[in-house]
Amino acid sequence: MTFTTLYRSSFYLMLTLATLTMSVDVTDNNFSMLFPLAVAITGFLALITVDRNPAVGLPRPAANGLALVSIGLMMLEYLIDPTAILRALAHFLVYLQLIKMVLPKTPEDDWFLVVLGLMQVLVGVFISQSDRVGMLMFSWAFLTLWVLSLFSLHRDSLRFRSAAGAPLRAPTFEEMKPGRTKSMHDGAEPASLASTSDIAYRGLLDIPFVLSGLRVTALTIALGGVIFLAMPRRGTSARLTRGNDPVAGHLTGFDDEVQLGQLGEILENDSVVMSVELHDQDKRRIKPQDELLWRGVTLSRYEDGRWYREGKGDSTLPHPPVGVPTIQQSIKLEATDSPVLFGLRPILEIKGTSRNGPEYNSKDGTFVRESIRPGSIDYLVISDADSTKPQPGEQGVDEERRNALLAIPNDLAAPLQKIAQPLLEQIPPEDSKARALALEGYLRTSGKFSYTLKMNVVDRSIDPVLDFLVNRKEGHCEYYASALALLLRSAGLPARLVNGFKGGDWNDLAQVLNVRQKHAHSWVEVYLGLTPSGAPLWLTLDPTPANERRESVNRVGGVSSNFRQFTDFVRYIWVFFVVGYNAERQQRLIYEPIRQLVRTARSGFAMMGQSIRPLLTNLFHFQNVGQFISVRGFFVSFTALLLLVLCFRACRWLVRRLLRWYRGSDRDAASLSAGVVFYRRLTQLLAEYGLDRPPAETQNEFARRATVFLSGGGLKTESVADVPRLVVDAFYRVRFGHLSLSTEDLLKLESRLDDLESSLRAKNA
Amino acid sequence: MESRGIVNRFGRWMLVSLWPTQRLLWKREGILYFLAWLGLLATGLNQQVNLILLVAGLAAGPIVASMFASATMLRKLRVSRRIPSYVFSGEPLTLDYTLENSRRWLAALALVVEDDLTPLDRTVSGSSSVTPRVFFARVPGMTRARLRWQGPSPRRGKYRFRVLDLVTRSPFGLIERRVTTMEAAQLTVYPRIGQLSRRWQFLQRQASETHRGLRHDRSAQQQEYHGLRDYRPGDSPRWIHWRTSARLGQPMVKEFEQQNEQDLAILLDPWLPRTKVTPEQRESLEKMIQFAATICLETCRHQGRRLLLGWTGPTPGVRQGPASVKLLHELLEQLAVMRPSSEGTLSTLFDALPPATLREAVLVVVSNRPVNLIEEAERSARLSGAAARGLMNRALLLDASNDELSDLIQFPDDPPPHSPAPSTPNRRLSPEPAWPMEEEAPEEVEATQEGRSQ
Repeated sequence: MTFTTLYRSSFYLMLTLATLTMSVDVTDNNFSMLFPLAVAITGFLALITVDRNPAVGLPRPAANGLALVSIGLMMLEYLIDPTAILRALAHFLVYLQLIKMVLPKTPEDDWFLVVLGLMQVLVGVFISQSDRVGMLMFSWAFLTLWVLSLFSLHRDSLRFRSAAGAPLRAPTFEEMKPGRTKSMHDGAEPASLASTSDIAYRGLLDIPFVLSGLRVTALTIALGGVIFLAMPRRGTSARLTRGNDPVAGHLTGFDDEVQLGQLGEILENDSVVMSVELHDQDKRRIKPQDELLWRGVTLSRYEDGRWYREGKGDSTLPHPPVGVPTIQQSIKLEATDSPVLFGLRPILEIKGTSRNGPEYNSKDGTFVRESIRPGSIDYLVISDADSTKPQPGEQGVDEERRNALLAIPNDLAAPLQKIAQPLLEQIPPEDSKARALALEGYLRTSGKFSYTLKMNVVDRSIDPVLDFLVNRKEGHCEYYASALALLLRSAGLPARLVNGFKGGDWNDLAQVLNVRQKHAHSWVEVYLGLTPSGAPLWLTLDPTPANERRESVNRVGGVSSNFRQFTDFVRYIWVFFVVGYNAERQQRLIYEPIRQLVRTARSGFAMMGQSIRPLLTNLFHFQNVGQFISVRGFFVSFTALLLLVLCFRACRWLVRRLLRWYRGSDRDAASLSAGVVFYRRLTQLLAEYGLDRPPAETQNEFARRATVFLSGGGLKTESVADVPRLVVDAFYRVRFGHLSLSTEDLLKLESRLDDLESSLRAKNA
Repeated sequence: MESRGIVNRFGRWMLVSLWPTQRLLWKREGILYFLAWLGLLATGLNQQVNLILLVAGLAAGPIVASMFASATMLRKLRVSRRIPSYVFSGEPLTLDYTLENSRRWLAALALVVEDDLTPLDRTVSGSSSVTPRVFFARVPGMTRARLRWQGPSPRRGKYRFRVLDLVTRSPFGLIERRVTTMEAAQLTVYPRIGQLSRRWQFLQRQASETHRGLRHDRSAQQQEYHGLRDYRPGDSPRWIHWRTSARLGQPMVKEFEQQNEQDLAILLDPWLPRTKVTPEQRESLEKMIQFAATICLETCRHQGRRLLLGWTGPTPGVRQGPASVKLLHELLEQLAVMRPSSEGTLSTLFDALPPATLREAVLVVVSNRPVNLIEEAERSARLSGAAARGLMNRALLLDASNDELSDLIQFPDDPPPHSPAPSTPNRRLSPEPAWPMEEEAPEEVEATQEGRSQ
């Protein structure tokens, strides 16, 4: 592949990546992916047409006309939808880019295209910060490094050609191996600007060039990382997208009313809902031992296969107690259109990004965002480590609420009681907990029910919960939870349905829990009365068979666990330390370890100082001169003088190094003097014709032998028979006599060597 | 005095020590890139958008990498220059540059060698300087590349090369790094050579013959002393070398080489007014010097003649000798550095001439102002009235300021007034040229091998 082809194809690929970065996460129209395709096709066409022959490029007037049309299109888009100014601007950038690509390009045009690509990438990161965009952005950045290096070479060759006014000529290479000489000439005139670089950079892509490119890339990554991590951040959350188009997904099953079976829609979805870092009260990371229940919404009214939420309570969350063991959850919730915030019950404190904090629903102890803003959000939940404790600030269950929490449809009461009664016969009525657990056990561990995500209906004429209990006996968590809640109500126990998530994928590398949509879950909370302190006590029941559910969850996704660990780790880094990198994480990652290091070093030095100081005090303490004249005195003075000398030499060395670094060296240490260079050239020339100097032969003897050889070579080499002697004389003067050669001598040597070379070639020919 | 010398030396050492031989220069693209990077950084910090900060962080890589990579690109490279010892003004100046890459693997890419040829005396050469630049696109490791630069030579005078700059913009073209190496050299640019016309031949012949067409008398003593031989009947007693004859016991006479051509003396009066020098005056001065150089060249082609060059000035100068290549170089070098003067007269120059020249030689007097040669000759202390008048018979006066030289010398660029275009003069001064002058010599790359025992 020629240099120009490589350069141009890399260039167009970079532009395609930039457009792809801009378009990949645009969800408000179906045509966004056409743009990168158009850029790729245009790039290919430009490569085979205008870049080979500039005459076939778009004429300038036509290009100007098209640019005006682009401006018109942009204005039209803006007029149609004034809120989508960013989209209109992005499209305008692509139009400009397409026009420029089909024009004959100068280095200034190439710079313009690079800037257009950069602007498209910036628009892309404004629209979305997903890991897809991040991956494309990194690919674009590395490719841009490659393209810039080729661009620099291309530009230099063009610049020199235009300045010199003459085309560059291909050099003549001589492969200098003993006994074999191969010469390749190529003095042809380049036909176009493109071929100037082709000739100049023939053989460019060798391993050292690629390795040096990799070195530069590694330096760029390292430096980019340092700058990114060290740049000061404000606040506890990172500013995310400012685009007008939300890219939020819909979280099914967490609305104010939920159709039975709706939660099942997301049980086969592998996308991440939230990422959670868990710490204890001492800020130590903890790994969850069991599957945690992430509480989202509660649903209390059931009617015709739909669950409905209760109204909102008006109490606020009380101040958190001090000194209790807690679990702190740093949660990054992906962009959704749902206001629900998830956390482990009982929640003692919750801190969000807005000034006022999340809203608390005191009726059921759930939390919602006060406003839905585009993009993901970070929040912190502090929960009591004992999940059986009541939720602080939760309202009690009065008579009205109790009746609501016991309400079941009339047609279900009798069948449900018929199912529940045999299970509760042996349990005293006052033991609500045991009764509730018995009902839970009936669904969970009796073996009569199995877990499936399939939504089969046996009898459509009856309620789906009844159909599940009586006919199907298989279903997913929503059915299990609905059935248990209704069974509990039929047994006189107030109960409510809870929708949230259970468990998650723990990543050992990142020490973070990724909760996915497939981890969505329904369970039940049954009211057991008031605690001695007067708080309402709710018991959490999970009637879904755990093992079967776990197997079903693990089947979704289909990625092997090792690979999933790696991808989740990359995602974690991206989410928490790139997109979500904030002041708090910066403190934790960068500044706090540095401070700790400084503190440790300081204390270490202080300890050292404390132990050494008395020793030094005793050592250097001389009451009079007589004491100084002693072994101790000798030791002290010797050490002091030695340190002084070492200091002086160190300073002198440092100054020399600084001077050398500042001035730079104009003569490399390994450079050769002229006499040695000429001698080397002579030996290489003669080696081609089988005349090598064995180690036992001196240079002078070698020169004599070479003279005899050349004298006997006929007329062609007789005239240059004196050259070896001349060169060796000069070599001796320089190498052993440490003399230098005058300009005239150098010129003469060089010209004589040229004569020798041409004579030998002529003889060989 | 000694302390001042020490101070000067110390000062010079400080200057040399502190003067950097490597310089880093920001190019326009680099400045714009840096400003764009600052903008990105400021936007990211202000808006606290992490991805913009990430792009800014990655964008810093090329800036820093340029500083280190450019230094790496210039390591273990050696550049040298080969120049001719002289060149004629108006002829192409050819310089050879060699770049040696001693690195084992890494090729040297896109390197520019910049040279600088500056005049030693600007009053002679004006402000003309030449800045040759050659571009080494790619020199593989352990390879030597040679490039030939050819360009127009500057005006006459002595020039010096001081430093060679090796320049790279690797790898991204944002920053330029220059390494300066001291490679001092001198180049003498001889005056431009033209073609003497037939009219000149006629005038010269006329000046060397009497009105009856005979050569002016020369005494035998003006003949070149050649050696000793036996006395032959007919030899003049004055030729006997008495000391040798006494030693050998037989008469021995001096033998003289017969000179075929009459001596030639070129006397120049490079006068220019002290102030308000017009371009025409300068041009006529240059033409005068070129004319003199051409005459010297043509004369020294053939041996057997003595040639003298004299010039007026605050102190008149004279160079003379038998026509030879050596003399020619001396005269051309003198003409190359000849400075105009507002002082000096031809009469003082006549006083400085050797007697033999005044007696025998054909005088070609070229002046840049109108002069009365007879008056100048009579004013001379060495010439009596009759001698001065006799001198006029052998003298040829040319007034360059009056454009009297245009009929006598033509240059390849000038349109010929009457005769067909002259052929390119042969400027070979010696059997061997300065170095083999090849036309259209391609770039040559020679590989070097390390590890061979010496």
